[in-house]
Amino acid sequence: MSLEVLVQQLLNALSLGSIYALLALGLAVVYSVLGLLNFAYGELITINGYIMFVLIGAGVGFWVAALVGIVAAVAASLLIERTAFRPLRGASATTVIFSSFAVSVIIQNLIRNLVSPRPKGIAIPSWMDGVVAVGPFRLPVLSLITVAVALVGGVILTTLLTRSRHGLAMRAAAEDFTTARLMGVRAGRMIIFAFGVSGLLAGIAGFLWVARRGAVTPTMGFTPLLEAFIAVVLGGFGKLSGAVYGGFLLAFIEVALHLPAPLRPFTSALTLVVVVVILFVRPQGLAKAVEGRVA
Amino acid sequence: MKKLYALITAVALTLTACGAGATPTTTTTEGPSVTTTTAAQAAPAEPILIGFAGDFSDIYSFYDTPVREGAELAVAEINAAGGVLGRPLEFVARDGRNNQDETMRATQELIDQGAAYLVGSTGDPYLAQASLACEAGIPISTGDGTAPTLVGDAGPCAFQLIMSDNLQAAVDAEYAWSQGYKTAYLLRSTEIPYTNDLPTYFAAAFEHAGGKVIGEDVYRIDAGDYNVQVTAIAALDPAPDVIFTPMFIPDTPVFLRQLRAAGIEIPVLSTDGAVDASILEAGDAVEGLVATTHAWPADDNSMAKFDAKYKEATGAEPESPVVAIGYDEIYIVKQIIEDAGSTDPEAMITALLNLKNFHGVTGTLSMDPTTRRVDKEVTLVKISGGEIRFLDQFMPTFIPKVG
Repeated sequence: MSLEVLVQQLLNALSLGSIYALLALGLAVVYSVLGLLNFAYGELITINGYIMFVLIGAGVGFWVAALVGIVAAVAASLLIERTAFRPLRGASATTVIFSSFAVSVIIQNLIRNLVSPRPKGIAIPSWMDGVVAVGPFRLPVLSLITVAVALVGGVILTTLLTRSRHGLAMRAAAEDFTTARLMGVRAGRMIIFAFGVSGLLAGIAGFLWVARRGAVTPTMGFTPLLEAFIAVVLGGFGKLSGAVYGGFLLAFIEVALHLPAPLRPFTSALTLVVVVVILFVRPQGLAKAVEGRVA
Repeated sequence: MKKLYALITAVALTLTACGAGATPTTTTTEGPSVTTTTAAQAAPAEPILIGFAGDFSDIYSFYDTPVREGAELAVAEINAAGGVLGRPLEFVARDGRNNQDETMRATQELIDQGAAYLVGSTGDPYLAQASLACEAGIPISTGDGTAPTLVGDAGPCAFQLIMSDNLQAAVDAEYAWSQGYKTAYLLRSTEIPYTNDLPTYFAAAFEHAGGKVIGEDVYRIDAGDYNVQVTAIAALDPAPDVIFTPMFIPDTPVFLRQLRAAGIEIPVLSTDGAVDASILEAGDAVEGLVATTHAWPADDNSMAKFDAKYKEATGAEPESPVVAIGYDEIYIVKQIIEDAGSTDPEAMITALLNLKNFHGVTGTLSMDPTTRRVDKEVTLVKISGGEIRFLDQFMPTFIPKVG
């Protein structure tokens, strides 16, 4: 394999990793506060996609539709908190997980019955499918946008978490929710804030996902949920930075395992084997390992 | 809590009201006021039950729903024309939601109700469902399932009444050869038989014709990103003349957009899973895509006539060519009942094995009694000018063996 191909594949991994990192971060935000995974998280992406599909169909411009889609993902995330999580505060983790599963199934079936079980195409502006050539490398415009959006999203989120009171409280809650509550952090408000941030990240990542797929399907949220989940596990539960490391690492593992031709049919299985091996060596996930080294 | 009680009461009242509404209707039809002689003369012939435990709400509803819609139109037409052997057809579709237990239960209930024939689900529970049908000795189709291995795995009462994957791959291969393509590159997913086996059939037919497969890659269904595969294709030296992939929507446009964005202009051939109106949203990237499918409207062909008829009957265009599959299947059932002269399952199976030159909407079908799959022409379509257009329709000269 030539160096050019290798670099090109690294760029592919970087772009994919950006989406995974955003997705994983959104899932981890809720986990860090509640200690529970929101399995309806993938449906936030689906909702974003279908809102875009409906609005574009009604003649609304692509970017307005994308913006409304992101807002809808935030609203849906808050609604899920209100209907599937809040009434079950104090219930066992299994109960809440089932509740979020139920929301996921309900949303998928609503879309199948109200829109269509068939995939629906969304026309993506053609310039987004363009390529910027830099020397021997071709940089797909969509990949550049993805990396840029992930960077901007990351900076906004970091600022939010480090500069605002809510952010400080959120980080405190992520470290130790009980102690944070004893220090005066209001649990209810913090949980709503976490779901809001989660919805925003899902909305942004969802937009990038839809732009990549150019189509919506009722089950389109499953793959992003699965990738985000693996990334969060890899990164270490409860560590927001870990979700980002996990997202990028997962993308690099996936791309790297695809390079040797004989391994290709086993990429998905081997990816999980590598994840298991990493967790075997570092059961706490990446984040603690990285931060431990820094300390 | 009060609200809950109010809700329960309201639901109970509604249900009672529905029940009360239903009762007088039953009494009217079976009421004693009608004289016995008239009742005997007017007694309708016992309907012939055709059952379809399909997936109408989960992922395979994408296929099973259009099959059902086509079947319903055919049943309505046949009944309006006097039924089969003087008996009306009764088509009962039950939603198994792609769930093994629910599909099995629905299938068993349809068998218990005396179904003479079953339309098979395209969904995952098909093999389990077919084994129930075979235990009862009732013929069952593969629905819109194109994998040729399905009939062998399901048992002696199972039949494939549509083009099978080895046929469509062979048509793709012969088309590729006719275009002067000498080398091909395959892109498969090992996840399901459809995406795993089609490239194998294509390779067999393409190499039989004289072509050469110079490489292949693997993709993941619904991965949402195929840049890794595209980069590998871009690095191929020499580049292949054609790329064959059984990718289906929504994956096909994702791959094609990334492929074309990379400046790769190699023609791409695909199969029926890619043929759907939603692919057109991908614009220029999908221009030139050639794919096989069951049938496609053109000029005044049978599919164009069917589309017009369907629109007249339902007010809407058929959602996909799969509607015609359901329609053809019911007419095949009519044909075999007439050939058998009864609804005896064994006689119907014999009639199915001997089905020859059935002229349906999707083409002329003849059953191969050894494989229990029909031989039929496969349609090729091409995306040009932002539309899916009929390109050709033929039976391949070489049919790859099924593994």
